[in-house]
Parts: sequence; C-alpha cells; structure tokens
Amino acid sequence: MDLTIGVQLAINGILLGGVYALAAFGLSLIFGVSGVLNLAHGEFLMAAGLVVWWLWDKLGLNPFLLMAAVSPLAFAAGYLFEKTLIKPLAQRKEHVRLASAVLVTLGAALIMEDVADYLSLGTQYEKSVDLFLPTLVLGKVYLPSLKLVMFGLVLALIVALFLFLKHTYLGLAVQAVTQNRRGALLNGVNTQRINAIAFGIGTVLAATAGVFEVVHSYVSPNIGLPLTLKYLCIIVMGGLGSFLGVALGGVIIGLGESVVGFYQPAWGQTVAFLLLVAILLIRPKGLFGR
Amino acid sequence: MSAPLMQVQDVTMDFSGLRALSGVSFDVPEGRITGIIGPNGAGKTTLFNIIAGRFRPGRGQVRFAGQDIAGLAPDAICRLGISRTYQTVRPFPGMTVLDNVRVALLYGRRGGAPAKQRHAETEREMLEILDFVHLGSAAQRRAETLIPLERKRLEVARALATHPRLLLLDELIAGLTPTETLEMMETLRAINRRGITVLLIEHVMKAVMGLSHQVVVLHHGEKIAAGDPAAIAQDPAVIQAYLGAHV
Amino acid sequence: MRRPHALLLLLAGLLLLLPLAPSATRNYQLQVLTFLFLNVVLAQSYDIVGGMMGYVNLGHITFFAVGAYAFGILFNLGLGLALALLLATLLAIAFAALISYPFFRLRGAYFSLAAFGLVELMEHLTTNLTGLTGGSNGLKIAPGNRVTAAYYLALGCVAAVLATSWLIERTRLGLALRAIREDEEVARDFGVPTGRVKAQALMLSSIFPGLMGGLYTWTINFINPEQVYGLKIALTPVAMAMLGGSGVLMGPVLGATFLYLAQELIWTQASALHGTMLGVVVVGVGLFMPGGLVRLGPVARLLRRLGLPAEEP
Repeated sequence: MDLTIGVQLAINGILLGGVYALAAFGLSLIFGVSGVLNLAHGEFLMAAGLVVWWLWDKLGLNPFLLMAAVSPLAFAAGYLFEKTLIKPLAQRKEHVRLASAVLVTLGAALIMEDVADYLSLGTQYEKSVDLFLPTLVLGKVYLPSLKLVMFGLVLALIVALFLFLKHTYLGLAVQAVTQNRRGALLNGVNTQRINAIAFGIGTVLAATAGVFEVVHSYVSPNIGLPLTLKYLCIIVMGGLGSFLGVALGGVIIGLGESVVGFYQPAWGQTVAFLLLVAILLIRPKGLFGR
Repeated sequence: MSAPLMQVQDVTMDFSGLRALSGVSFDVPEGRITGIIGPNGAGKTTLFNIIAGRFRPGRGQVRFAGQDIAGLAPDAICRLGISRTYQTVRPFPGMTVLDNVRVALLYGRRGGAPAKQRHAETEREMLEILDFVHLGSAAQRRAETLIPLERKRLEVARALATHPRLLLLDELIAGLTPTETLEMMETLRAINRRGITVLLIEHVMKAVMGLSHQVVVLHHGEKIAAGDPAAIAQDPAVIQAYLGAHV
Repeated sequence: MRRPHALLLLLAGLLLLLPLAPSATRNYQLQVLTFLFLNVVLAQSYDIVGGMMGYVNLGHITFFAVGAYAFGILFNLGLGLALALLLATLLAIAFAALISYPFFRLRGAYFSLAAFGLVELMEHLTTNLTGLTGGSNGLKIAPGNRVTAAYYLALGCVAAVLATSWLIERTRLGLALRAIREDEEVARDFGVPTGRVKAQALMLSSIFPGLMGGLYTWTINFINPEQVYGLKIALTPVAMAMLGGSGVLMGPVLGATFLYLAQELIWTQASALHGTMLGVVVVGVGLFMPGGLVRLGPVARLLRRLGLPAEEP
C-alpha cells in the first residue's frame, strides 16, 4: 500500500470514527441512564446538520461557531423530548416499556425525517458545507488541515465529556444512575431529572456530530435511521456503558469503512454490521462489556 | 445419620478478584433439614446459586445423588430434582398462581415431564399443592396481586410442583410475623415429612434452630462450623463471628 | 370453564365468506386485500416472539426478505411454484435457526437493537451480492397475472398463522414463552430449556413470513432490497402488533387491518407528509395505548363476552 494512501485512509478512518464515537456516546449515555433505545438519535444529528447548513448558506456564518449556538437548542430539544415522550412510559412493565419506547422514538424519527424531507424539497438533496483550508505537506504526505482541525475538535469534545463524567456532580450522578438506578435514587439523586438531562446532553453530542458530518461529508433528511443503527452497532460492540469501548468501537468502524470503502466501495457501509455480528458471536457482551 | 443426598466438596468462587466462597465442603443428609447460617456477605446465596446451576464454581464439586452437577444448566439441575425459592420472591407477575405452578410442573418435573399426563390430573395435582401451602383460594389470581405472605407461599408451591428431592429455601421466613413464621415452619416440617430433603438459609435463629437437624455456619466465604443446632449455639467460633459482625 | 370461542367461530365464518371475494371484486381491491393479508401474517407471526415471548424482534422482516429472495432465485432456476415456495419457507426457517444462537445470547434492548442491525446487514449483503440477487437493480421473475391465486394463498396463510398462534397459546410451549417473557431466569430455574424454546419460537415465527415472502415475489414479479428491507417496512409489523394488542391472538390482526387500511386511505387522500401521519399514529400508540386496541375498555368487554379475554399488558 502506498504510504500516502495509507495515511489518508487512516486519517479519514479515525476522523470518521471519532465523529461516530461522539454521537454514539450520546446514544450510550441516554441508554445507560434511561434504559431507552432512542431511535430518533440520528434524526437530531440530521436536523442540527441541516440547520447549520441553512444558516451557513443564508448568512455565511462559520459552522464551528454555529455549533456553539446550536448546542443549547439541542439540549432543550433533547430535554423536552424526554419530558413529553419518554417520561410517560416509565411506570410500564419492562417488556412493554421496551416496545413502547421503540414505537415512540421510531415514530418521532419518521416524523422528523418526513418533515425535513418536506422542507428541503426543491434544492439539492444532500447538503454540504464547503470550507477550504490549505493542505499541509509533510514530505511525501499530504495532510488536509481541515480534517486535522476537526479531529482536534472531536478529540477535545471527547476529553471534555470524559472530564465532565468524572469530575462534576452532574456527571457523577449520571454515572451513578447508569450503574444502579435504585441505589442512586436512595442516595438523593433526582433520577427523573437525570433522565431528561441525559437526553439533553446526548442530543447535544448528536447535534455536534451533525455539524462535523455536514462539513466533512453531507447531511440529508434520510441519513438519520441508518446512522442511529450504526451507533447502536458501535455501542453493542464496545459493550454497553463502556466509555473506552464506544471510543474504540467508533474508531474500528470508522477505519474499517475507510479502508474497505477505498478498495471495495460497495462494501464500505456493510463493515459495521458484519463486525457487529462477528463480535456478538465471539463476545456477546461487547469488547469491554462486563 | 442417613447417607448424604448431596455433597458440597471444596467449592470456591471468585467474583472479579473477590473471593465469595473458599473451599466450602459439607454433606446434606437425605431426608433431613440442613440450615445454613452466617452474617451478611458470608456467601450463602452464592452457594445456592452454584448448587442451582446459576454459577459454575471456580473449583470444587457439587455431588448430587452420586453425580457431579457443578456447571450443569439450571433447567437440567431442576429436572434432576433440585428446586428453589428466592430471597426476594420472584413469581411470574403477570401470570395466574395456577400458571406459575404449571410452568414448574410441566417443565421442571424431576425426570422430565411424563409423556402422557391428563389435563385433569395436572389440574388436580396443582390444586392439591396450592391447598397444601394454603393458597388454594388464590389459584386464579394474577401473582402480582398477591400480598407478601401469599407470594412466599407461591414460591414454595412452585418449588414443590417439580417433585424435588432437594429443596433450597433462601430466607423464606425472613419478614414474616411470629404467627406466620410458626405456620410456615409447620409447612416446612410437613414437606420434610414427605421425604423431601431441605437446605435452608435463614437469619431468624429461632426458625433455623427449631427446624434444622444440622447447621452449617459460613463466615467470609468459609465454613467455620457444622453440627447439630445445640452444639452450634455453643460454638466459640460461631459466637465470635456473630458478635464480631454485630458489635 | 372456558366459554366457547365465539370469536373464532365468527372468524371462521368470515374466512368462509372471503373466498367468494374474487368474483365480486376487481383486481385492484383483490390486491389490496392480498397486501392486507400479508401485513396480518407479518404482524401475527411477529407476535409469537414479540408478544408471547416478549423479545421485540426488530429483525422479523428478514424472514420475509429471505423467503422473497430465495423464492425469486429458485423460481428463476426453473423450479415449480409449490417446490420453490416450500424451499423458500424452509430457507427462512433455517435462517431463523442460524441467527437464533448468537442473537438470543442477548436480552431485552440489546437483542432488539442487534436484530435491527441484522436488517441493515442483510440489506447490504443483498445489495452487494449482485450475482445472486441482482443487487440494487432488483430481481425479476417471469411475469404473469397471479392476483387471484395469490389472494387465495395469502388467505390460507392468514388462517394458518392464526391457527398456529392459537395452538401455541394452548400448549406447553405457549406457557414457556409467557414464563420467559415474565422472568427468563426463573423460567430456566424451573426447568424451561430457554435456549431451545427461544429457538423454536423464532423458527415458528419465521415460517409464515418466509412463505409470504415467496408469495410476494410470485405475485408482483419483481423485488429489490429497498422493497423488502426498508427500515420502515421492518418496523411496521411491530407497530401493527402493538397497535392491535401484543400477546393477544386477535390483537395483531386487528392492528394490521387498522393500520394498513389507514395507510391506504392516507396514501390516496393526502399528497404529502405520509410519513408524518404514520409517525403520529405510531407515537400515539406507544404513548397512550401500550395494551393496544384489544385492551381498550369497550373492545376488551366485547372480547371477554366472546370468550377471548385480553390479558393485561
């Protein structure tokens, strides 16, 4: 393999994986805290991507600055989503709650996709932000500096999330609820509120990933569910509740897609799901599952 | 003493580095009631879970009726003739009392379910068991509507429906009022008189000492004493363990 | 002790009447009915695993897809209708047996999401294995007007899937499925060989979607990955079963009928935002009707009077 191609594929793969991991963290956080598989997760990503694209297109604002502006909105959206659609299911029996949550989040996903589709008729379907930064040349290797900037941002966000979980009261409360809901409740954690907050934070992570997607590749109304599924694969692979597992799962899938996609474009998107089934066969609790 | 129905031999169990049981050995004589006591965290429930097939021990054997059953699947162990109740009751909440018992009878019966058993015969047997544990009038109720005492009775009924040779009772009496305790003790004696061997974990000393023919004491995952109840009550190591735990 | 199953008699009566339909209706209506039957079969067979056993199988549609593709490939090889249908069904069952082991090592939500991932995986495989499946161009079979025959076969499938569910509910297997739904660990402790029982349930639930898949290809002469694996299609049986009432014999039938007819009406009446309307219905069911239509006051009373009481969810 050519060194340049190798480095390019690795950078692309890791960046892709980092963005996957970011959104997958959000989904994992929501699932860990509330026990709900949020099938609308990818739709929030899609919505944020489209909003940022629209603001960039109409007002010419920098998408990374917009990321900061969109975050509080995303938090509010996630928070309200939990309060209106998820909280009412809390008292149901486990298997009923699971099925109800699937219906509610899926129905919401269908609505969001359809509305986005309706609103974006006419113009080109796949929206993308074109940002140009000069390419760095190191010897024989060309380094796309936009990707490096994005990678730095993704890394910073992941570290920030990690610090948040380890060192703030809210973060610790989130972890406590993830590990033992009843125990946390007995220790004075307001589990009801934590649920909504987890949805809020998770949605911010999805929205952030949406901004990266719209800059790095493209966003269109129908990307939501397939992405959600891919994040689910990453979470299951990594082992539910494992921070490291999600990060590694994201990078494995990102690299896999990047490398396989280069040589066999048609099979790139299959990698995630093949890996998922393979890992389930070998380690049903995921790479880092307990 | 009669011949042992079950022999626990050198059973050791670790949970991610923490030793829950270490080299525990004792015999359960056939037709008797054996009590297991010990402070919280002594490894009593872990031991039950190993016997019932939930966990595979890291080391050691569980010989039941001459066969090593350690590591067999729970459903297979149930059909060999070991059945259990849970420390916190676990009925099938959405099913009727009758159906709760029916699962055990149709699937868990010792030696496997008979190829041909008439429907009427099954019904009669289930009602008989329910009457025996004073739950006959609740047969058609959903298990989730039962009060705690009735749930405990259902646990016993479900366990009996498998025609067990050995019954594992995990803190069945804990939480009952004195009157209910006496009644449950009477039920357990009646079960034992039917020839069913009983292994019970209990914290209520009066009940263990009153019921058991033999008592095994666990402390920090090790067996520190075993013998008849009167001797155990005087054993310095046992007194030390309990006082140590409470002071 | 049980009352006579008046509803089943009613159903039998309806089924006796339905074969008369072809003479009285035109092809379009016949096709609508055939697709209605298809949905009923998918929802009712989904419920063997999803409702009775409590494993929300979001990958149920893969059985249909395997049946549809297997039939198309075999039919193109020159096999007759009956043989191709039989083999397609057997392949769907074999597929269910194959995935049963790895997927049932997972429980609850983990199982559901892995099963959902399976739909995506199968879609990718079908798209990429172009030599076998025709890839995204789809798979064609020799055309023919098979509307009436397909109608009868689909009707037969509805009767068969109802009979199967009814039998399962009344046997030891049904009891084991409910026990697994309530508490799988306890079920195992009391002798239920859970691994085997779950595999049996999955295989039973794969028979009729497999058969229906073959029938689908046969009647519309053309399939492509989007048609049989679409994520929305994958979720429809789940939504239908829940809407009607999961875990109750007539529930999925009712839900499938209601939702399918509603969709048909929406498609013909409204010009846009079909997905939104479907989504609103689905969210509404999840939020307000966890027990489904059969457990709503008046419906539940009617069913009880007919001797088919709906259990609480």
